[in-house]
Amino acid sequence: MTRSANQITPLQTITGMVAIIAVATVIVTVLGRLIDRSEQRPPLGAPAQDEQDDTCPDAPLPEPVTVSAADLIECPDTFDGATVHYTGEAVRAVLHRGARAWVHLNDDRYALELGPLYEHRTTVGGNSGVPVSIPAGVADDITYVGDARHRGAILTVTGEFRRANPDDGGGPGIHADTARITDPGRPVGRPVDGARIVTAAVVFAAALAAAFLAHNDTSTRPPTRRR
Amino acid sequence: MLIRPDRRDLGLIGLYTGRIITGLGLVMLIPAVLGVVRAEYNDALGLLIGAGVSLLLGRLAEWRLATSRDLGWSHAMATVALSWLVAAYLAAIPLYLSGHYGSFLDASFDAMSGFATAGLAVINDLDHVSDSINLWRHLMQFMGGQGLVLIALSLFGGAGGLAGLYVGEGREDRILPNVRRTASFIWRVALLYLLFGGVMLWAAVVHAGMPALDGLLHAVMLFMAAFDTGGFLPTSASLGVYHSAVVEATASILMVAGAFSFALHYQLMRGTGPVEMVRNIETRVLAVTVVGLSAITMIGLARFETYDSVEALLRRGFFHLLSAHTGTGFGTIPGRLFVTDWGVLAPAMVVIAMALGGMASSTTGGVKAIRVGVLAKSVANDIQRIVLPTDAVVVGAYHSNGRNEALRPAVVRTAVLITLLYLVLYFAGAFLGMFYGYSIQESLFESTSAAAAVGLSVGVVGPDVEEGLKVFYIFQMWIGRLEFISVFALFGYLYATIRGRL
Repeated sequence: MTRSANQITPLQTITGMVAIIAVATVIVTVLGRLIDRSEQRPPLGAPAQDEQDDTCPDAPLPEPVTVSAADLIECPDTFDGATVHYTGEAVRAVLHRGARAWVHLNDDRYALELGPLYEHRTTVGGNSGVPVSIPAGVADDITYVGDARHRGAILTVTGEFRRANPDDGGGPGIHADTARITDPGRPVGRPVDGARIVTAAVVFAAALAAAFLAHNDTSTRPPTRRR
Repeated sequence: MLIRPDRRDLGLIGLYTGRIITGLGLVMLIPAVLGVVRAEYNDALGLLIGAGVSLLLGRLAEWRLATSRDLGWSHAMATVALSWLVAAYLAAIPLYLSGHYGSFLDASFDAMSGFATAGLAVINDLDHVSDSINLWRHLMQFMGGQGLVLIALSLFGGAGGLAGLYVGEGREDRILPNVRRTASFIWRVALLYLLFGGVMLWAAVVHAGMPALDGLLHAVMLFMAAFDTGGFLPTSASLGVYHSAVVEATASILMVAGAFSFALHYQLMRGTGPVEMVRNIETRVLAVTVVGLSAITMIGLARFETYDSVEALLRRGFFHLLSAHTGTGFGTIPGRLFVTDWGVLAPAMVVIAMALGGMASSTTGGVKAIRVGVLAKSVANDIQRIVLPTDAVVVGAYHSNGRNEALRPAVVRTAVLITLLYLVLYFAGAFLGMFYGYSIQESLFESTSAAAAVGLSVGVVGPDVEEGLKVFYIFQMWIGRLEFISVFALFGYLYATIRGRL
């Protein structure tokens, strides 16, 4: 091939880039439809918690004071040592430590209102929660912890918030004197999406065809070099 | 004169990019298998679709662009930069299909964060993410830390010019005589650490109270995040979810191992490691900066009465400083506490630690210890020249990778240039953050964390972060992890295709 045959003009370059962007956009659009097919959006109401106030409340507080995770993280000094009342979903694991156990309780909208995102596909932000040390007896009664396949148990706890908990090497957390399971949680699931099966099959068939061509089409393969 | 690239040049870049994304597609099949085993069928299908698209594009490139030409240095540099962008796009497919992202841009953000081993995340409801998607997030860190190009080298080999691909990913030291053997060595090191580190972490998380099977999966993911200094974890509470000093100590060992250069690992495996660690300029610099910054962090935390016990200062203060310095980004407290509970001095030390990073040719980001050491030596030499008689000859030298090197002006110039580029990158992100209304502390913290591929956050980065910041942080993670040059080469190619002469 001569050099002139390999030359490209600026117009060809720009056209090529536009074509690549167009293909990428088409792929994203198709993927978006795959998500849409499996959406069963629950109605969106008001947020579970009020918008976080920038200012921390003045101490002393009436105890027990009902708090959110955001309250505790934004105003750790204010609530340090206070008896707090907190509700959240147990997620990921229950870690037993002798007479007590650690659970991470989330109080975001997935935890208290909408359920796991896997179930409803409505994105409302990240997770927020605090670690809570609960009596081992209550921990034993937790059947489900939140993960992709389960909505975790909802616990309501009352206890002392410690900004730098000495029992946890200085981590923040609630040492619960009382803990109650108000909802045991449940398994969650979704039917297998047929459109995804078809899409995966088509894409893989095309990939196999391309692999076959790449392996067997001698017209485009370079000659093997002697070494 | 700027020469316009022709079809053969672009074809060569496309061919190698195709090989790299073919490797990506094959790796994507691993979490897909886990998805089937764990009955997470929709996510497994998402991973299969992502793998299929990657393999399709990769094999099409092999079919249409195959050539016996060798990869030139500039081709290699541009290939690395392009393949990282394409990989982030393709890796985002299963993330997006998981439904945990508000947009494809969000999924691409996390994909680039994974490959760059940053660990910043804009995922929604992480605590309910499936195991297969979580494994994919961690595999991205593993691939990015080891080097995407290493996958291509290991799977497909290639003709000449592989050194350019290797250097393009921010690595300079060729440990063994050729790049392929070096790539093989890096894999062996990772697998060795996986074996020992994985078992140690498994024991640690089970000791912390995790069930054995879940603990195994956590240990594997924790290993990838720690050794490749990534910082993703399967829970929103990061490492704090385990409430275990044993887990934190084990992770710390792996974080430090990840911050060591593979050349130093080579010396350690040859038995010359202890001597090398004492003489190596990078270990010396890291020792000084870790000790110095830790001491000031402790003073800052004590000054603000944040912690009142040695254990708390070590597990919260020192751990986060180490996490920042190694570019890992693990946290044992919610990130907002850096702002609401840590005062001013301690978070400032964390920012400096993030900006400095670990060793060159490791899995960390940031300026790197070798450049800090070279700059310090250069300044010391200049002072000597001023103090000594005018006819005295001052010759600087430093010890790195098992040999003594002269402190040549070109080395100093490169160190100054790259350091300045990092500083510009850190401040550019900070200015953009301030434009969006965040405080200077928050803006600088997040910007440095993104550009140095660390992953600690004070809460700016999340699903609700502004689109403009998301795009800029993606750019920072990309160019910061690749250490500028290969990205400049790609931009140069684009410019030359339009404005270059025939």
